[in-house]
Amino acid sequence: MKIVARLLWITTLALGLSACATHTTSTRYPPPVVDRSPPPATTFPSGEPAPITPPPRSTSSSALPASGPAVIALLERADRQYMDQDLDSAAATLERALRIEPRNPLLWHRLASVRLDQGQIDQAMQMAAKSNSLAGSNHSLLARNWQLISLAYRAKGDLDAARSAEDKARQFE
Amino acid sequence: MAARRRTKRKSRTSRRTRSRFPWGKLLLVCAVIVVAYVVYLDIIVREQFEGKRWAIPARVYARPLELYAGRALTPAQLVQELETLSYHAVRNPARSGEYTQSGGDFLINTRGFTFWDGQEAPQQLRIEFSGNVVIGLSDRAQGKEIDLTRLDPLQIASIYPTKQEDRQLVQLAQVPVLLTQTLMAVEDRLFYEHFGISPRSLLRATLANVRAGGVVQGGSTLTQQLVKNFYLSNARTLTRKVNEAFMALLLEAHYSKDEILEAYLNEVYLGQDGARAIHGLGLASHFYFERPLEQLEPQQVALLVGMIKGPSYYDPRKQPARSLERRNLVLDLLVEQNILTAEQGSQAKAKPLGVSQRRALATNAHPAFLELVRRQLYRDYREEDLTSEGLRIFSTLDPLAQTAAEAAVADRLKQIERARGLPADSLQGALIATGIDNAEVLALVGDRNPRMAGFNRALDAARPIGSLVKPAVYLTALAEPQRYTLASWLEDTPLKLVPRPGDVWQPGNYDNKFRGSVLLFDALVHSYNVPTVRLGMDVGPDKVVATLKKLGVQGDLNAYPALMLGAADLTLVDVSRMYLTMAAGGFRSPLRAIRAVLAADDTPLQRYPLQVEQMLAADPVLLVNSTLQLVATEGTAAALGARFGADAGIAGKTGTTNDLRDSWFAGFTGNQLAVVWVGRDDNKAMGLTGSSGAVPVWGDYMAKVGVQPLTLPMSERIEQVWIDRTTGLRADAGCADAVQLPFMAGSAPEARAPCAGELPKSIDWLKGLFR
Repeated sequence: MKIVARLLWITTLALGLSACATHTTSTRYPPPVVDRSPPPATTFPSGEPAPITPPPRSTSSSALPASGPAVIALLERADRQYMDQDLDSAAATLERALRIEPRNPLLWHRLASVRLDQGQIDQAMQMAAKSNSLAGSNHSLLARNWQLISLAYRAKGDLDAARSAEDKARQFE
Repeated sequence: MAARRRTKRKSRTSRRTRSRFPWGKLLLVCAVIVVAYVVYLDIIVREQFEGKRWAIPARVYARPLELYAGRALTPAQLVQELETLSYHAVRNPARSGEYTQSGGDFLINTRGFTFWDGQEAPQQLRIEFSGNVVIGLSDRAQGKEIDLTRLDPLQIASIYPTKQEDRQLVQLAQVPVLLTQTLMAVEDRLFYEHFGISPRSLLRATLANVRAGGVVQGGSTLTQQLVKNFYLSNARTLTRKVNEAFMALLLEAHYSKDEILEAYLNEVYLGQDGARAIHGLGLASHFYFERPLEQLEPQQVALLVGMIKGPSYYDPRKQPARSLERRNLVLDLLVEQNILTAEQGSQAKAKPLGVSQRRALATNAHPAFLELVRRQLYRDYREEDLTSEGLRIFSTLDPLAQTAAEAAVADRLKQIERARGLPADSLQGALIATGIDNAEVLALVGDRNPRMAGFNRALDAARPIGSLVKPAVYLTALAEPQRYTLASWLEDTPLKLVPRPGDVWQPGNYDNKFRGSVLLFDALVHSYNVPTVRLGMDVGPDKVVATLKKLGVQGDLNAYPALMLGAADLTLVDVSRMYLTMAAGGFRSPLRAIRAVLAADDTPLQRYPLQVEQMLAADPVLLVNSTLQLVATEGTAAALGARFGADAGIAGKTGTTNDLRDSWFAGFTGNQLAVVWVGRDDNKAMGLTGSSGAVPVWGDYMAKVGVQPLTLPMSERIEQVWIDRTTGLRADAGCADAVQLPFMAGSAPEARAPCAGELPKSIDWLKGLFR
């Protein structure tokens, strides 16, 4: 099961980073191209009334939200920690990234993978569901989450639920 | 016990004296007694010195400030954070703990810190702002960009045992040589030569004192002083002096000079911070100069060492002239003993005392928040572990949010009292701010006077929540999309209910009007009572209670009709849980005030990880949340839309209770939920609605911390449809009064409103493609 979870992680690794990358040349770890566009405007009205002009953001983006350099750095750190089997640290790093981008579905997906490896099956499923709720129309991530949920059901011995989760995953592939 | 044994033997020996005096035996007995006594002292000395020498209180830290390009932060907030952390504003930062600002450009030499998830090395940061956003972050020393870093966290409290001794342990290797040299020059010149007691020093001290006509030098060695502080009472008796001498000899026999010196440096008393006693040079250095020992300058070293003689007599904050004189005396001594050159000495003497401003913050600045931390800690740790093991507790408190919350409550209540002619200090308020999606408590105010550690209204005051309950009613209904949508019609006509036999209840609307029928979303936006009660009775009060429980409410709930209008006494914590689950799209997370606990040696003891559990389907929650956004643009909290702009997307709900006793607002932005309560402690009417009391407090708080726009996450199952407000049917550009509402797949009305002209078939087909 662990090996499958690991494979899942590696596939999303490419998925996650390529969402931030515009062009990839290297084969293994595409260097993330950092999105330098201004972050969502946060307003601090000094006088009243305060105008607020948030940049237009699509409500259901087809791609992952463009992660800032901080989150990309943390994702890479979490990947290293995960590969080194330092799961506690990987989880802490992902939580730190989630404090910066709490609605980044990829971060929730990664945390779900770590929890699955740690044997925290229920939290793994919940976090995959959370990732799904934020994934909008990102079908590849939705598929990955359902694969993870399927793995989790398998680990619990619920094969029927595992199969139906696999079916859901296939719908998004 | 030893004393008793001694007297017994004495009486026995005296009886024998009468017959024939056995001098030899007496000597032997005396020797045995002395040996036994020494052995006894030896046990005490070794036990204490080798065991845990000091009870170190647990330290509670605030969250560290994360810095990265793209971080929403104002330069003023960064300055506030740096000031609270006692960073010194200087022209050219050279040492860690110093910074300089030039407009939106900062140079900061950070201190570095060990966190629960790794270490942050000291850095020479350069931070660039553009407006209210950090746009650049780099390390000047290495000349490269940094992705992210964090400042050292503010220590917000210590958890003490009854004896409030505080210290920050240092190792001898960390202590600057000048400090140990100064210490020996002043207190014990022959420290490395004597064997615990020093007759030479005693003689010299006596001579010096006679010459000076008063006590200028003490004759006790550092070892004796350590023994006195460490093992013995303060009584000035001969027995104590003898014990002190014996124990000093024993200590020296067992332990190296360096070990004794290190213990001395950590034990010595150096002042008082309210009830907290400052022990050890490590803590004293922070307490007086806000910097680590390694960074002290000669005159600062001289001041600290000079103070050992009388920490309150030479208190540099209260007795600056006296302590300056003492410091300079020490500096003279250092020159005299060739530890400093004459030039260094006069340079140091020319410097001011340089003692940092004391903030009231030091020990427990935010008692209301700390109370929450304590409650979580006492669930997992024993009292003695918290007060003696030197645990390091990383809390979730955001000092910027906390000070903003405290000011928002205090200032706005004062303003409301003045504007409405209410008696001063008649109103009370409470506020809890939490991070969305991680449920971390960022700020907590339990009293309009935030330093008051008494009744904690945020944690313990259960008050009727009024209309804050309504979203749960609508959430329950909208979970059945085949029965209810946001564009369903609800009846708004007089209603008579008989909750119990003989008990007739006739709810009315706040404005005492009936509108015949209203669209479901309008009833929530404008908080109409009668349609809400009807809806709640339709779906079933039990189901509404179940929804509230799923949302996280732990307080008592009764499935009566009046529940639909908020007849439930809940705390701010409960309300926060409820709205957090909604803000997180139906996923519930336990409120967290602690991220992690480390042992004194930095090994992680416990993490309080992020946990989520989906309690409600995401889609109905989204429908309710998007209606709550309308509350803040056209409903009972429209003032917020006017203040922050409609694009801020603020979602929230006001609550007002009977006779205007409680004023509530629970609202969330893109990253924070804040729940505010305003009312009176005696539960009397105060004349404020949710809109006129809690809403402005909430607005003041958010204006200070900054509003991150809220964009609700849409799924593919949700369809956004323009609805004509007069008919509740599909609208188009031809309709004057239309609103865009979300619908769960297949639940949107099919029919077009009269204002929406029949579209040609082809365009309808085209629209279908893009839907």
